[in-house]
Amino acid sequence: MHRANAITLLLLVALVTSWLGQALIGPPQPDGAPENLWLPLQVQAQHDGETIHLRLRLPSRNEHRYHDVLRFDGEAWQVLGADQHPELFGEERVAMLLDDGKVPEFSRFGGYLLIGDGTRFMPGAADEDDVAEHPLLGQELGLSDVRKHLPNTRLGSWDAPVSAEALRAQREAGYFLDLWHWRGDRGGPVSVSDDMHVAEHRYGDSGRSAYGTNWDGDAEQPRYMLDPNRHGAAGLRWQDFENGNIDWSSEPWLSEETALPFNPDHDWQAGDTLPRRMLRQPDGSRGQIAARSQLQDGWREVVLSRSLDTGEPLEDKILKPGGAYTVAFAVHSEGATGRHHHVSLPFSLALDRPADIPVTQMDGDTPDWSEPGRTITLFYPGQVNWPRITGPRHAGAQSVAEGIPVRARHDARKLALYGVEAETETGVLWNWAASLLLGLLLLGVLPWSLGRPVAREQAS
Amino acid sequence: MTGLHHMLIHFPIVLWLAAAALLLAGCAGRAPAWGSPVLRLILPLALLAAIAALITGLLAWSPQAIMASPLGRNKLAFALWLVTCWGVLSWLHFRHGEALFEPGLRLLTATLGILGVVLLLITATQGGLLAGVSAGVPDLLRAMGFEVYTTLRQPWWSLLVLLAVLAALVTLGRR
Repeated sequence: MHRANAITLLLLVALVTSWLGQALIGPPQPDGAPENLWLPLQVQAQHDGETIHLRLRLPSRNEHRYHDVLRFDGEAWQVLGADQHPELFGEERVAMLLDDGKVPEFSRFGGYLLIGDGTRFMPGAADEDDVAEHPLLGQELGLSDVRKHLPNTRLGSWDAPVSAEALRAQREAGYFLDLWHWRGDRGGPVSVSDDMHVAEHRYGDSGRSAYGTNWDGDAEQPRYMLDPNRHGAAGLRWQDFENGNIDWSSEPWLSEETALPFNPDHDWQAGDTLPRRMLRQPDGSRGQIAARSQLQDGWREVVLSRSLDTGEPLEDKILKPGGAYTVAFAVHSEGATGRHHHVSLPFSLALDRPADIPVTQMDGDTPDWSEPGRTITLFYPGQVNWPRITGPRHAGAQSVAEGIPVRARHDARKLALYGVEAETETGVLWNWAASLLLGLLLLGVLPWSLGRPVAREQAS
Repeated sequence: MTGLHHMLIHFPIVLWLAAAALLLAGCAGRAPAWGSPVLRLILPLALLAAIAALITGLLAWSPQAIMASPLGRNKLAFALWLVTCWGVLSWLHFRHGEALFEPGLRLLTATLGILGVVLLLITATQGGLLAGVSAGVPDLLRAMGFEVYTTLRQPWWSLLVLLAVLAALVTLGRR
């Protein structure tokens, strides 16, 4: 074979190999990231002038998932959750952030806005002791970690909050986001959604939540157990979790109405398991969102209902007929906890006005969901926070500063792919550099491989 | 610097596309008589303009921002491969002249010419995406297995094959 043809063949082998390699390698898969980076969420909304009803549908195969449980190992009770068994635990959750225009950046950048410096589960998360010792955040507000917060509640880093007076003024001016947070285990079974809000921290609204813990720290044992007369046994069997044989129709959760005080003298066997959460009826502002949920044909349907005006303007966004708002959604599914969720870009929601998600007036007493809703693509956001988006490592930081919305530049597909790479950056960079260098060497060596023999042939 | 890059980048695109047409015509035995002198003129001109565009492109964003963006990294890699590919073609034409179109070399010339056009298409597509414009090429590339929003990476077996090809080329060069 002529030398040049041999070189051509080698070049083609390199090109085909590298194309195949690129096609087969796929995006990086960080620990804890969902297998599928995108998730559809169907959204519909109606109102009757007093109450808004929001219907959210997401793919699901779980009748129910406990957030966490207590398992007896023969000697002591252990807490087990998604960290140990993501295939079994980690409740399904659907959350909606809501703003009435008082946080203008939210309509442009959505939930990214809330992931500031020091946020837990992210690189550079603030040390809990440092937070607890902080004069305002720890000592005055009683916080022990940094959660979602709005950028203008800080003067830069997490430990530089504006003054307490400024925080109060911001709140009275409406600088906070309402957070509707349906938790499949912690509230779902008693038909309520957690009502929360985000300002300098992610807070629950005032009042009592729908859940407490079933753990007595002093006695190191559960506080409550199931009623054998109602559920057939005082606890569940671990094997039934592993085999998927839990009878969810018996509603095996602990609630104030049905649970019995824990009896340490019961004949507990290794593998006996109790829910770690004790459910109760919430009260106050915290319990103002009613929730119905059902699993049907592989889809989880959650219908959230809330008064348009809750009378709590410092914790809830008050809705009005004719009003336009911004919403963004998040879903925790398949054992996802913490930041390993799917999120959406911001969308407009308006009552009796055109919007991404129109809220139409109901005809009768109950919502009619027969019309198709809006399907939103949620995506895994990875470890991308607000300082990164507004800092020198983001080429679009200037566009962000100019107020150009994220949807003008990015879509859910790109943001998920960028998100997983931000989480695995070091490995990605090394591989990229090796691939780049090999490509340059392969091309650069060609004239040398060819040149001398041709010169020899010409000379001869 | 972004505006200057956008202005400069048109020159190598046009010149390289013209050069590719002349090179492929030559490989097909249909080279015009003026083909080789024109190539001798436009190949160095395109290379100079491309180097200028590469430099202005690198200065359009901070190095930190380029290296933090999958699209930025890919654009940088493809731009460097593009300039190298056409640099090699320019050198081969300077060294071998019309011998590039003779049976011994024309397969390599055509392969490099087509590779140069494909690299040009992908690099320009990425440039368009960085400027916020898409002409549908990313969808085509995605269908062919290359996701433009994922940093170029290779599995270990592919890197090994590429290393073996490099070793074979070096061996050929030393014989």
